[in-house]
Amino acid sequence: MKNIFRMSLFLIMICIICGAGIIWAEEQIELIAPGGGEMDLKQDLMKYYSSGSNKVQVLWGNSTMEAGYLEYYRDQDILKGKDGIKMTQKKPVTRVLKCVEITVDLKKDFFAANKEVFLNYDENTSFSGNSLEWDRKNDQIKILGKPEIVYKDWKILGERIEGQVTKGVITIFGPVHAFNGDSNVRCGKMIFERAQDLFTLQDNPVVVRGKNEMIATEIYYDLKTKKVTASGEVKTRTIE
Amino acid sequence: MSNKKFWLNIFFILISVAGVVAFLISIRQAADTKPVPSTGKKERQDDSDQLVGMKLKIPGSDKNSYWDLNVASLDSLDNIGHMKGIKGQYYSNKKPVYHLSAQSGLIFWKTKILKLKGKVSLSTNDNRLLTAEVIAWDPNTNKVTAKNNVILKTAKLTVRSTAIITNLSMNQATFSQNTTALYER
Repeated sequence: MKNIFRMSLFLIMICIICGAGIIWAEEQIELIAPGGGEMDLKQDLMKYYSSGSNKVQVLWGNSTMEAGYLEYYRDQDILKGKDGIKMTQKKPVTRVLKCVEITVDLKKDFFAANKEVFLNYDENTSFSGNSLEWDRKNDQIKILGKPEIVYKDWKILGERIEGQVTKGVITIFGPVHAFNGDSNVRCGKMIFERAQDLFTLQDNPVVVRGKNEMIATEIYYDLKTKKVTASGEVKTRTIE
Repeated sequence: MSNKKFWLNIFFILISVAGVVAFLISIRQAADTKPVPSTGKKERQDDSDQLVGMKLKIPGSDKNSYWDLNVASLDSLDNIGHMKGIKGQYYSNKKPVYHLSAQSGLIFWKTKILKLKGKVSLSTNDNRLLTAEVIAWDPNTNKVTAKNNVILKTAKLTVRSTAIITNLSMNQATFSQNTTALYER
């Protein structure tokens, strides 16, 4: 009985030490600057430079980032990077964000990326545009500047994308144009539900598949079954 | 009775501690008010002067500041002092503000530039610490240059680099290539 108690106590201590180690690692931020840097403790600002193709690297929590140039505002816990930004999130799945400029609020877990933004969200989904704001804590994403979603074999274009990317409910504001190998969709607004593999098309939606065209008040496109259903006033025709 | 003896003992202990503290304070005040003259032995060797176990007072970057260094030995030749076993403080307005130690170093008497080598350590009163294999200080520019295995530690920040240019207070610095910074958030 005593031995079991001692063993349990030992295992609990090991777990606490390992947990503390993980928490400590989460609370650290490491910057590697091949080209050196500048420190100003009065303003609590540090600047880091790359050297040739060797970029500045930042490691924190479950993420890493590389940049041509980086600033760290320590009192605000904000990173600002420029030139060839590539941010990689390792967990829960590997996600990669690329852009030209980025601001990362480490406290709020919020990213603002600008210019040539590309987010490889998972093996089926990617986002691109000219600007992206991603509040990871509250699961809110906004993409502007010719935003695009690539989902499996679908490409979705719009004027503005907003939604909850982890929950998988994303609204594309249009005019919206979505297409794959055999279907072509246009509407004023699309609600994309990733978990259900469903497009809900609103604001004068039109679906064209082959030579068949459907217009309705609202159209539902099931991406798994390729079944299209409509509500409200429905018109169909064959395109010659 | 035993209670009385207990309190009497406590009283004597407190008086003793107060006496020791007062003695230490008086020693420190004496050290602050006037610099200690050199007390080293002088030995003549070739054209250099060699002194063993002495204090050096070197002017700082402004008129109210100076280095107060204890050196195990000093060899002076051609306007350069070769020092070994260096430990000391930088005084500003009669108060020690920076602390220094090194295995060896050079003092250029004309320019008052210090070049220190071998596990050099420079620290401030607010716990900023700079260590390196080589640290040089130029009073004319108030710049500190550190090279080789440079580590700068401040509150929750450790920076490692091959070279750093900073000032004595270490509130601004420029790091050379291959710099790594570790922050505790």
